[in-house]
Amino acid sequence: MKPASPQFLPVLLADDDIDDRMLFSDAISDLKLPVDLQLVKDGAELMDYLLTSAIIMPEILFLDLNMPRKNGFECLDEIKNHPSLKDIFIIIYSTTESQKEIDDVFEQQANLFIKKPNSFTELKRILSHVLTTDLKKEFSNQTKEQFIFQIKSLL
Amino acid sequence: MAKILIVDDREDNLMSISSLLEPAGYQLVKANSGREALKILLIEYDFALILMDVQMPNLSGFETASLIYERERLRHIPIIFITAHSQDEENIFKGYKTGAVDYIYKPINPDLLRAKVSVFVELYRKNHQLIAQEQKLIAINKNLENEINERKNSEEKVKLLNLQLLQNIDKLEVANKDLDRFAFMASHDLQEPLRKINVFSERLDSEYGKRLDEGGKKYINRIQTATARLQALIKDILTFSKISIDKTAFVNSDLTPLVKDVLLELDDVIKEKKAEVQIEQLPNLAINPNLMRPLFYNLIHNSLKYSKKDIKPVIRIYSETESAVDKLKGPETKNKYARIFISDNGIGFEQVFSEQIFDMFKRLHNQNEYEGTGIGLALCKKIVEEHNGFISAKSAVGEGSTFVISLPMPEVEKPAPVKVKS
Repeated sequence: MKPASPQFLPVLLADDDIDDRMLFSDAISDLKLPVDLQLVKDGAELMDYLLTSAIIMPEILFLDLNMPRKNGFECLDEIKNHPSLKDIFIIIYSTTESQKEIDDVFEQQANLFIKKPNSFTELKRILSHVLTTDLKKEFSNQTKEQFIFQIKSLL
Repeated sequence: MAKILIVDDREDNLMSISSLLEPAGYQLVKANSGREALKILLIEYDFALILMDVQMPNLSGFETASLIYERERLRHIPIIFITAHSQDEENIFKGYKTGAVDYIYKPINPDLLRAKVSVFVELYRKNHQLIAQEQKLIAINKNLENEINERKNSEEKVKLLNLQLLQNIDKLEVANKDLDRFAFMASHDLQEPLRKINVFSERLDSEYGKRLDEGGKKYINRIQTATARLQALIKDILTFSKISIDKTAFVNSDLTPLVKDVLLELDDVIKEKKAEVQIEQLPNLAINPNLMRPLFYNLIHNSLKYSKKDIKPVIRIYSETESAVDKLKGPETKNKYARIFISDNGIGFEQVFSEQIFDMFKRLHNQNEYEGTGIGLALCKKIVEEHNGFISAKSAVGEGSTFVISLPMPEVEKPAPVKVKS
């Protein structure tokens, strides 16, 4: 799946939280990143979007875990087991601190875990790093420790 | 004194038998007919022996004896018949009744009479002793039975109480876990809106701050300070609630590198305070490192936080081992404890607060003077207790404080006595 325009990186955010969706798109427009951002409100809408209505397949999916109708774990499982979706780079984007949940999504082959930051500035720093690097190169064959995105890796 | 009943219709016979027996110290009761004897025996039963003349008018000695033996209470009293020498008479009584009887033939041989009487009296005494002993034994047996029953009852009660206790402990543990889980969930969910407040007040400040005057900016500042404090509180409650949820196995660890790691974490504060931290060799203990780190972090951080402004903060971390009596197991079991001291030259506190400071949300200082959530030391106490140890503090205002963590040492096997080869 190639992006329609080479200048715009297709990114999808699945999050039921309206504030987080707003902050996320605000951060991207503030950063003036060449990103084509699509937003979906829950897991069911996400799967529906990916399987039927997406014109451009996202290269990166930011996936919240705790969502109504279909949660992030279920979506992750479906996507990673779907032949035409399994190559999407999935970044778990959640507030969870549960080691078990983090272990679970690592086992389910999510590509990166980013904890929702406590400040807008930090969110922008994270996004400007993540969306401007070759993710598949930098974050391939991760260990569990590297799986959790640290602001340190920005340095 | 043994009682003997003498029955004879002739006064002179009664007299002569009495005179023969009196010197031996018996208590003698005389009856001059079978009827009178029966009358006496209606009131008195405690005769050791009856001496009975056989040939008496109206009721003969045998007839009297058989009437006596009809009564249950008298059946045990032996009777010696005094009779003229005649085998027939003996047989007559055998026809009536058998019993503990003997015969003395007239004319009476005084020695024989005394000897026979003494034998029967002796028998009576022995019997009485036996009966008394038997009664004692029965009483003892009864007491024993009662005791056994009581013991059984109290054992049942103890078992029941134990069961209730165990059930209560289970319930308490479940309730405690539930509470911790509740605190965990609540504080986790509380973080969400708090994160939004943080993010949006930050954006308000950075994007619209220029349009606000000093007053407006101050309010934003206040919101951010309050938010940071709430975040710290929630984070601490979360940590606190996770202690009993997180059941990582205890591992034998060297505390020295662990504490050095904690010092690295605190490096910024140590540099900022220009503090000197001295750390001696600490013991190897079976601990949960995930819990030990926040324990030392909190205690050392406290020492840095409550340092004096005008002098260089010096913190000493050292240890010693000691045998302490296990309060639960009693004085026989001396457990070895490692005591780890965190001692500082800070502002200290009044010794009267040395226990209260470990209570949840207990603070000795105003939030404006020293920031804090009032959870740190409660967390420390809970962590130490999870390790079956205890924590205490010694301090005086202006004199610095020393916190002492006592943790049980793994049981060291005593060196086996040297065996001499034979």
